[in-house]
Amino acid sequence: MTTQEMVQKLTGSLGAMVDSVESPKERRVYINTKRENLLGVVKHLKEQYGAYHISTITSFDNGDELELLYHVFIDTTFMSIRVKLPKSDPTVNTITPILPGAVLYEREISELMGVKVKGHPDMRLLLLPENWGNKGFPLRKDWVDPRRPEPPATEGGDA
Amino acid sequence: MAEVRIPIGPQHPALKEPERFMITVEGETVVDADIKIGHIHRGIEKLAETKTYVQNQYLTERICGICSFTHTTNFCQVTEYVLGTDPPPRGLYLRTLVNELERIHSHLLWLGVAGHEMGFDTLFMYSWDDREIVQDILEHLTGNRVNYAYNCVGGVRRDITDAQKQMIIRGMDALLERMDYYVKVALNEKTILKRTQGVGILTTEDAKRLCAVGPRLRASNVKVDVRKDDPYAAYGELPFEVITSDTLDVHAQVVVRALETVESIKMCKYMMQNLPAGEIRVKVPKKVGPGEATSHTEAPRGEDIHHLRANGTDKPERLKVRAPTLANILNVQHTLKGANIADIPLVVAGIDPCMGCMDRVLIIDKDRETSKVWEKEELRKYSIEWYEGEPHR
Amino acid sequence: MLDNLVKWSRVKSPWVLHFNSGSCNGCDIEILAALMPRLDAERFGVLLQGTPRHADVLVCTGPVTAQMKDRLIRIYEQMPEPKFVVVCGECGISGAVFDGCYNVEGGIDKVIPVNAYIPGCPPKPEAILDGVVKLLTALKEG
Repeated sequence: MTTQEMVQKLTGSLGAMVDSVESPKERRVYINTKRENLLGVVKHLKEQYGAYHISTITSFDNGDELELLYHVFIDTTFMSIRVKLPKSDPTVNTITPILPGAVLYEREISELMGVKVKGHPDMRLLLLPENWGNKGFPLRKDWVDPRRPEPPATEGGDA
Repeated sequence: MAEVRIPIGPQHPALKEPERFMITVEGETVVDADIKIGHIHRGIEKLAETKTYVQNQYLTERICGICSFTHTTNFCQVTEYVLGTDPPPRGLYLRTLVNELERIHSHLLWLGVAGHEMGFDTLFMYSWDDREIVQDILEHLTGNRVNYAYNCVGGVRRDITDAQKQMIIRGMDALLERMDYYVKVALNEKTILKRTQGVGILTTEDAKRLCAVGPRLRASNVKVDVRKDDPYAAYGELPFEVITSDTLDVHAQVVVRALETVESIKMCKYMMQNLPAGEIRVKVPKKVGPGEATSHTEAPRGEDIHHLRANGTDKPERLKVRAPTLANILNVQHTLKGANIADIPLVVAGIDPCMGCMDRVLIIDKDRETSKVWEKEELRKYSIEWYEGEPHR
Repeated sequence: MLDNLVKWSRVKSPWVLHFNSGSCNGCDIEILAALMPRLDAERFGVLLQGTPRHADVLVCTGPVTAQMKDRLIRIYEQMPEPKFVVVCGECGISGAVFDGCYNVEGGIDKVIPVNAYIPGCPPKPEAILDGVVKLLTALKEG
């Protein structure tokens, strides 16, 4: 099945659960959906398309909203599921009941970007030191390193 | 039976990063395992947002010293995807060549380290000595043994001369002969069989459920390899086999890695005999985007994924990196349950962790309210002696 | 270099503890390559130890991450006198590319006193051996 055929099939079978399905490149599909439908989409991909491998979860800080991209790799194609969360309420449901492999990636987005994952079995810090306390979420755009308020000066280089 | 909790974070004389295990044991059997990582979390993703794409080529190289070329390949690739440019065929072949050379040196490194864990130091010395053949080739080709600075967005930075081509072919022939010995050792050597057969079994179902990657996944009989499933660089044109094993244990990983090394050597030879002529790189603009792309490669340890979002400036908006070892931590925790204490070093070494262990083993005996500190060397020697005393294996 | 090595090999055989305080492993594999048959530092008596209590020289790599800082200090304090610290690689000298990262302290000399620096990213095994030899020769001469 070509990627374009995959997009059509997905649009048909996912129906109202998604806002849109697009493919900017061969073997790359982006499924845009709302956070209420996230679990439904993941479950559908697992049951109807045989998804079992989640590569990682990328988080973005877009100013007044956080964006999550769940990278699920099926056979030869990346199906990346996109959800957007308002910064005032950055909660999302855990997908570990359906894809247990996501457990560490959800810990990572929670500690580095401040996403609140509901229902996660183990929300301890994964990468940050135990004494991090409430120094904030480092990957957010407005986060400032308390030790070094001015970022180091950089100049472009030649390849 | 009394439960004893052991925090393990022993020091590894062979490279790597620190990590800490909290192991709960009953007698000699591990009942539960918890892994704490993050000891080398440096904050690279945040730093990448303040550096230009050119600077990020050198930053991503230093995410890991052993699979550094994979990270730059990935980064350059994902930037090329956003730009919509493709490097010329010769550049792609050279990129693939160094990728495979890195895989060879990484697997030989692992073989030596695994041998050291078992007390088989001769294997350690032999494999690291043979690895020097690859290091010499890499130094001739790129200028450095580690951290090659060879990739750039748009291709590779240095071309290859005919003399270097011949040197590579000779080196690969020599290595192929040595690999005969290593494959024989992997399949027949009693020390290796005793320590790795039946140890650290991960079923196919669990491997898929826990999202394992790389040789660990292929040793659980799952035929998945990014080079075949989502071909990148020149892999679409190269003939090679994806090696799997159905014994599911640490021995399967030894065999998979040894045979993968043989495949890589053959691929390098093929590339030298079929290298296309032409340019090695294309010029790319300093400003990238807006756009986003995902790229993944098969690092020696497994699937490595980079995701880039560009905003039209010369610095990335967001770079996300997930290295392969993070994906394998879950299955290590799973396979440690039910293992003997003496099996811990090999089960952990089996996934070829790009991590090392730094802390102490602290044994807390709840019954007697005493605690004892174990060093990693002690644990390694303990496991070697335990196996020497074991009659039936 | 040969004279230095002969002189050094008469002085003592240093027992070395290798510690990774957040490095990418590049320097660590080159340190290990210095012990392998190609260069074989063990013929000069350099022995890799597993515990700080038996070590003379601490060979340290990596920019110090927040998690490793306390452990590095603890390891240093557990080593018996006389003890020496050799920093291997750019990250340990100044933080190198990671200078400015939120989880990184910077050079190792911000945390413990250092006797010798071996620059490189990573330094070649010959350079590492040369650095250790220089340190021991300098110590022997006062």
